[in-house]
Amino acid sequence: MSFLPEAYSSVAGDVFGLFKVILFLTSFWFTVSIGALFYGIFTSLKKQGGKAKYLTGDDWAQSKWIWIPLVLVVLCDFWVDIETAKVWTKVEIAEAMPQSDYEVKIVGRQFQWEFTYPGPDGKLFTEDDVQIADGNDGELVLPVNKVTKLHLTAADVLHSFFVREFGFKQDVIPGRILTRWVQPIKEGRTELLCAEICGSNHGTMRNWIKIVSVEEFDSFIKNLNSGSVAMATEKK
Amino acid sequence: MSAHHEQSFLSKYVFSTDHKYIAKQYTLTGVVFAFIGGLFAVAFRMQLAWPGIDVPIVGVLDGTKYNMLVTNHAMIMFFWAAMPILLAGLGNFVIPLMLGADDMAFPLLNMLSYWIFLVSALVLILSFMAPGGGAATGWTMYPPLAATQGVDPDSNFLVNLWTGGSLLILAVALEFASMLLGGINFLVTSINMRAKGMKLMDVPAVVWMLNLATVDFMFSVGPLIAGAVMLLFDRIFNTGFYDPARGGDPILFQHLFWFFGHPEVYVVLLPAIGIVSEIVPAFTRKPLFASKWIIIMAVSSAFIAMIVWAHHQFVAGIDPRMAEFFSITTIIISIPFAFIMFAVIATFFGGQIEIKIPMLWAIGFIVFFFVGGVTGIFLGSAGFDMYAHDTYFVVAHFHYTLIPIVFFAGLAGFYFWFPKSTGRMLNETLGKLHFWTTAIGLNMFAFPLFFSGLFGEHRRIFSYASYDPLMADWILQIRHVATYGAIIIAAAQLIFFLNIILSAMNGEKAGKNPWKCNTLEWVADSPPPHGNFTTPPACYRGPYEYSNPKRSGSDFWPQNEQ
Repeated sequence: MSFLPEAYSSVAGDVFGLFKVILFLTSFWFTVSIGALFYGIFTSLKKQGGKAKYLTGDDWAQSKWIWIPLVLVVLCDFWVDIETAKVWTKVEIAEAMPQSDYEVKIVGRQFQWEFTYPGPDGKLFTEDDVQIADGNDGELVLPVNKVTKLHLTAADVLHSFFVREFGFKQDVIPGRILTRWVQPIKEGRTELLCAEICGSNHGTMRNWIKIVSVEEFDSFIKNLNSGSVAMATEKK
Repeated sequence: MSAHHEQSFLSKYVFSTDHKYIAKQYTLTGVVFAFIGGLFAVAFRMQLAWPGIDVPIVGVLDGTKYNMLVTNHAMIMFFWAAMPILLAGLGNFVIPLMLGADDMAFPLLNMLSYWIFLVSALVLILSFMAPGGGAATGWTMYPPLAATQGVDPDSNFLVNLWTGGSLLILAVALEFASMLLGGINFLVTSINMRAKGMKLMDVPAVVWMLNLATVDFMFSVGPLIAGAVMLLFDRIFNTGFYDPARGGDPILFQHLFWFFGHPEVYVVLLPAIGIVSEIVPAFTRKPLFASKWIIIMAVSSAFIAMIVWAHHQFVAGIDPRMAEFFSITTIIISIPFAFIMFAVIATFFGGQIEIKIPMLWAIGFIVFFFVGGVTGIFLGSAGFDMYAHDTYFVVAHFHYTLIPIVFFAGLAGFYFWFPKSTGRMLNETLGKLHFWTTAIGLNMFAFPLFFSGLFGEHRRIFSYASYDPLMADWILQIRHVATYGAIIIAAAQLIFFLNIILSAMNGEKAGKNPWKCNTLEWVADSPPPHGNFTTPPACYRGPYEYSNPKRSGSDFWPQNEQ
């Protein structure tokens, strides 16, 4: 489906693949059901002197025509469930989260995203963390092919971390830090949206994600820690 | 209640205790609000298609105004249009008549129910006049935003009560009180006032569905009221139920909201399926296929409806392991509805089908609701919902469920029972025109949104100017087409109003039973007098005995005839 965006993360392909499985199954059942409906209508239009069949559907000989399709629907339901569980487990379940050396804290605030990287000690949630708070121009820089842990939270109201090309979305909640992860698979620049209504300027809440090579990322962190990054940053 | 004497104008039309007039009051109020809610939608759709346009009456929309219109569009359409029309209006009209009763069990309570409803509507209107305008937090009213927007913690509680957000909570609470009173009447009447000989399985499907909807509403509304009271207290008494800084939890509200919010979908869906279950047998001249199983499946769906709520919260920050449970219950609830839809479709086979206007709307309901139904599977799958949640895919999906429910099934019922209610038939030509324009409008409006939703267009955004990929030409085209679709839906309803006015004055006289149906409402005069039946009817059989070979001479067998 060309309508879905280009996949920039290791799981986006799985998420979009789920769409294709469900599209296949639902298209099949839609066609069968609505086809049956119109077949029923056009073969049963009123005829002069005609008599309708007295079919109550109370015995198996008649009702099997809906019970058997129903069982098939249930089987398809389980198919969807199994495919869903595979993708969901891979992306969301903590036990399945891959190991990572990189982490970043992401804060939603009316109406921008802020990013905090580890300071010189290489650890997040310590005194020397460096924050990038640059309005809607602030960029979340991520290394390509590496797993980065995302510690997501909000400063004021609910927001939702949404990156189309990652096939991923997570609401962020004030007072809670949710840990998810991302593994970008190609370099580039994508938009970071907010997908939860967060006030009057919800419609302008947009930041950027820049996916760079590991070398570039390392020098970005180095510059960040020496305070020489061009963008407005704030030591904290 | 034996003496039904002449009534004064006031007691007949205004302070009426007659279930038929209360039904008309509810329906009329609902239609007026549906129109207001529809115009809200046209206004913000115009902003989306032509950003910065000076919309008639509301002016140029900024983020706040846009959010306010979106929020109240949803609120109005659900609580002041869908519920009064499909639950209160329909239920009040058909339940006593179909059961062969002279009125509801508690007529005075019934009147009270409507008047509380009207007060709730007035409080809603008042909320727009509060400083800062109406609530603009999304209809889900998620705190902390909904707990703080427009609130000044240093002011006294009256100042904070006099805000759009607080008044909206009050309005919704009053509306719920009204629907609860009405619901008590539905249940008591259906259990105690059935015609002599009418067994539970002889009760028509639509009455079953209305009662199941009522039960779902009653069981789910309590937690929401608790949640809403806490939200109101956060706003006016500066409590911190949803404020994490003071030990509160915003996610708590989401659970309380959706514990109600999901069954609420079935509160309007079940009556819609009920309407279609009456109309399809009447116009195919066949028994409703597997009608007992339809009832059993509807009962089971009403139960399962109570344990699917968190599928609205897959990405809200709940424990991801919980999502797998709710993904499974969500998929399970598709089983009873798949059965019901299959059974209704099976009813068409071997019939003598006449596609009169009510049947046209019923077929429209089946086809378009199916689109809404199957696209629900995408969102019920937690893995894909992670992407599609809060995009236009969701908007397209639920408009393909709610427009078929409220417009297609609701109007099917309206065209079907209008002759009973007024004694006159609605015009067929205008009816067809109304149907086709609405159908074209729905598909122009909602279908393209699936594609922009798939591309990731997120909702509740007043202008996409900040998002380069979402300003692509094809998405701009989709916004235009969808807006034209919304305008066509609204304009199509003018044909409907014209039809009602012309037909009420000059329509063909209906007689007692214009569609040759079996259920008891068709035994009464059209319109039924105060007290409904001259002699209380008895019931000898189920409601769907069409074309029964044991009956000679006619293809229907009214429930009251031996």
